[in-house]
This record gives sequence, structure tokens and C-alpha cells, in this order.
Amino acid sequence: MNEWAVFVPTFLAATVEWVEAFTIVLAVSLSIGWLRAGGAAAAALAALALMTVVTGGVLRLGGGITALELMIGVLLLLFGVRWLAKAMARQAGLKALHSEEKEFEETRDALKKGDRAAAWLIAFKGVLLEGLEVWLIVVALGSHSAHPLVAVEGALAALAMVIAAGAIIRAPLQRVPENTIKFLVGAMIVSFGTYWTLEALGGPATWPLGDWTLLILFAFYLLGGFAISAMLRVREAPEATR
Amino acid sequence: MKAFFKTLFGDIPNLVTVGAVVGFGALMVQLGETHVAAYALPPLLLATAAWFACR
Repeated sequence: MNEWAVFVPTFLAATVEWVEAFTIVLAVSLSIGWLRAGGAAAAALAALALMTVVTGGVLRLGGGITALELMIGVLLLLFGVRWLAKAMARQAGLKALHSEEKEFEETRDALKKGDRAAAWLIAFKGVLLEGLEVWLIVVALGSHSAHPLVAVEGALAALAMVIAAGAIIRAPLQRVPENTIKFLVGAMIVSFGTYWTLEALGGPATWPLGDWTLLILFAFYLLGGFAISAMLRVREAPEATR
Repeated sequence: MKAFFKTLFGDIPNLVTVGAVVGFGALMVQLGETHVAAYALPPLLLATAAWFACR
């Protein structure tokens, strides 16, 4: 599989998650300082790195390729369908767009109630939970690729970009087109999930076009998702004016 | 731990619907209708996502 097919979805998904994690760390840093908040984020990133090494190694060593492909395919479907659904709901106006400013204020409010240890824990937990989705994509795409490190590089490149942008702006990164990225990544992840799940069940002949099928599936989920969002928006609009 | 599992697998409706779609795909493959599964799974999964979007 082309290295870009692994790098791009990992980079985009990681960008969304690191932006959300950065907002939490930024809010915490105003209470306990950059050093402690950064330390909490670094501890969470170290935990994620350890998880990636352990699970990635286990997945590549244990079990047959078909079982591995099925497991990863189903995991990606479970994960990707939720991303796509959330992006569709936001696109259709059924769900409010994610606001980094709101997230920032909510974290600041939560910090008012706790002490320094609680603030450290909020930063650690925030980065860990946002990073879990990055870990899942890195391990899933990396373990099925001939170049597993490409997935890690995608996540690290996104992390470096978000840290650099955050260091310059020193405010929540609101101008990232989060829902568009979520739409793209959701469509990509469901495409990989569909491809690997069915290939594991039906064998290599399932997709006569081979890896090119991924592009067709991606276009189907992306365009289908946009079309359904537009239909839902039209359906909801008259109800809203009543 | 709850947040960990929810991140990985989603909630019960997510598990049930995606499980049902994959189960349908497996059944079609067992019946020798792999091409049916290849055509049916993408629209079923898109419909699942649309249903979740409306929930």
C-alpha cells in the first residue's frame, strides 16, 4: 500500500485530536504554568508511545494476517462510522460545531474547583483521551502497512505542527477546519475498515481492483456523506422555522 | 477505563449495528455471494452513519 495512503489519514486525524488536546493543556497552563502543564502532556504522550510500541509489536507478531486484518477492519469500522456520523450531524446542523473556545472556557471552569494536582491530572487525562484515537489509527494503519513507521511519522508531524502553531498563537486553535477534516478522515477510516473487513472474510479476490478500490470507497463515503448531510439539513430547516 | 473502551468500541448501538453489518457481510461470503457483500456493505455502513447522525 502507498505510504501516502497511511500518512495522510494519520496526519489529518492526529491534527484534529492534538488541537483538542492543546486547548486543554493551554487552559491548564494558565493555572499551573507551562512547565507543569507541559509535563502532564509529555507524560500522557509517553504513555501513548509505550502503548503504540507494545500493541503495534503484539499485532505484528501474533496471529495470522487474516485474523489481524479482520480485527483491525472491524475496529476501524466501529471508530470510523462514529467519526463520519459526527461530521455529518455537524454538517447538517443537527449538532453544534466543535468550539475550541468553548472547550477552553469549560476546562478553565473545571480548574476553578480543583487544586494543582487536579489541574495536572486534567491535562494528563485530556491528552491521553484525545491521543487514544490517534493511537488507534496509528496502530491500525501501521500494523497493516509495509512501512509501519509512516503512521507514527504522520502523528508526530501533526503534533509538531500543532505545538508550533500553538506556541506562536498562544490561544485556542480555532481556525482549523475541524469538521471538514473529520469528514475526510471519517470517510478514509470507514473505507479502510470496509476494505480490510471484507478482504479478510472473502479473500483477496473480493476487490478485483485491489488497492484502487480504496479510492472508490473513499469517494462513495465522502460524497454520500455530504449528500445525506444536505438532505438532513433541508429536512430540518422547515421544522426549525415552525 | 470506561472512556478507554468507549473510544475503542463506541456505545452499545454502535457495536450492535456495525456488528450486524459485518455479520451480514460474513453471511454473504459464506453463501458464496461475496460480490453481493462488496456492493451491499458500503451503502449499509453509510446508512448506519446517517442513522447515528440523526440520533
